[in-house]
Amino acid sequence: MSIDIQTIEQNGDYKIQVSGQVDLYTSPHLRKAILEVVDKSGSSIIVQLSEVEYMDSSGVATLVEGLRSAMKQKKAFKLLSPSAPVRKVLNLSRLETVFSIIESEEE
Amino acid sequence: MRDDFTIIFRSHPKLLSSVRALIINYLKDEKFPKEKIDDIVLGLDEACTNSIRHAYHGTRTGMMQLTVRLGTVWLEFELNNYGDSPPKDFLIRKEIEFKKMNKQAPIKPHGLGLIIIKRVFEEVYFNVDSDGRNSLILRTRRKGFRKG
Repeated sequence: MSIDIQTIEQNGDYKIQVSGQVDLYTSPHLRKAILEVVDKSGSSIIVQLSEVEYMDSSGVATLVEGLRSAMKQKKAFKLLSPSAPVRKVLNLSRLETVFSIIESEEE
Repeated sequence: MRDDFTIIFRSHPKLLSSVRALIINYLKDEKFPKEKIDDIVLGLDEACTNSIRHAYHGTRTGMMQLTVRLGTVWLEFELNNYGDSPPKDFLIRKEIEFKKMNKQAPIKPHGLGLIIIKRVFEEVYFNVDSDGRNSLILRTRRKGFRKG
């Protein structure tokens, strides 16, 4: 499979590191990981996207689902260092302003 | 406009990465700039994804046929499937929906693919043939602008 997903727990909160390609085939795996982490996380979820080589609208829809789930549970949901392909698809979807995008975990 | 190649592939999401790789190599050989290649590949991938989702409802054994044509002005893709057909006027209906979209409206995770297709390609046509073939034509200029 052309996606790798690592989940890291940090003091009760979670970071998901995604690398590879996120499309119709691989996005269900990312969706499962994100929704699990949103439920488990104390107050915030960070999805690191710096190593994502390709993302289509299936990936964006997955991120939107994660964001909506986090908002329902009053938890923060942030995208860390999205790669150029991720920024492109967010821009083309007109959703770049919907997400909280950070360039370092300290933000 | 010349027909450069036609590929036939199953409606299996796993095959999308191979289709993307093929189109990337073709567009590189034809000297398209990288940013334009990225846009085209994304738009085409969205069209294939929509066919798998909406025409074949996720069934992995449907037939998809993609023809690539290149002229002096236009690059054209014709994507055919024999799955379920949307209403013939669905592109017009979606266009009206997009124009009515309100930034304050709740975020919807669905329907993003068509938004991307319409932003990437200058011309988008859809037709259902008498034999039940759904045919989507996507055209972009070889050089020039990206729609805003």
